[in-house]
Amino acid sequence: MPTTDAERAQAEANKNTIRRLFDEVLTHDQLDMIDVLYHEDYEFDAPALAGSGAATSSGREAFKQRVVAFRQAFPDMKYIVQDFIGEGDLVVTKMLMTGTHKGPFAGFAPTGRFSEITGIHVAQFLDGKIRKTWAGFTNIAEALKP
Amino acid sequence: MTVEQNKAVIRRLFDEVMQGGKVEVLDEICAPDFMIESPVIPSAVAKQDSLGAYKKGVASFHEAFPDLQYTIKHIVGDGEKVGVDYVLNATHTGTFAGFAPTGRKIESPQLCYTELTNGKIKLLRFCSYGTPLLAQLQA
Repeated sequence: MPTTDAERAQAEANKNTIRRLFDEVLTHDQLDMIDVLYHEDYEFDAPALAGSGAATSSGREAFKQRVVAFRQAFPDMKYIVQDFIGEGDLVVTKMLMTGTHKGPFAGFAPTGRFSEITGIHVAQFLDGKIRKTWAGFTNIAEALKP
Repeated sequence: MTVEQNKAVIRRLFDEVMQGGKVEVLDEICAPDFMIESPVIPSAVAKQDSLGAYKKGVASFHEAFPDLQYTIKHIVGDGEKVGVDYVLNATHTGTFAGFAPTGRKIESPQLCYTELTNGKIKLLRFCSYGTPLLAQLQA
């Protein structure tokens, strides 16, 4: 729990960075913002994502490629921040992804349907930038079933 | 309620319900309009009776994985919200989701996002972020 004004201000700044990630990068395709919001040593923590066609490697460039792949799967993709929790160097986001499923995604063949997929995203910050992320979807199997 | 009080409620959820299997504790720590969002509970079922569906889910999970062990890595709070980053380790020794016991050891990193009101849980959202459980039993 933020105890000092400085920690509280940092938690709010971190939340704002997450808001920009979901809006500018994941909804509006501003891939160059990844270099602004993410730490140069960015790590993506996705232990052995079985059946996922997506690359799971770390680094800013790998993340840019993942966003491009997401956009191919859901051309009208939008990410909505439903709410978030900021404490210490972590921001936990309650998120919603919407879009029409036109390409393979996380092992699911395209359904052509408009889908709403809920999930949780965690970001760990260092020096005001996103240093590490890990995340999962809640209702993906139901939303993208054939 | 303070953030620390809300975290204490979520620790009870993990210790007594998820780890201990005492589903009746949910009657005490959940709000009347409690909602569950889980990869293994269909949304239509959750809309009808989230508390009942979650109790059933916990009980059947304990039958399938009696040695289950939850380990919390991070627990963070902000206002009336608490998030948990944790790992589930277990051995598959009972039938689960139609799968006969495989004897396999599974490890599943998971996340939980909760919202509380007056110290009672009104939303529980779960997800996993590694290889899905069913995929670990199938592979």
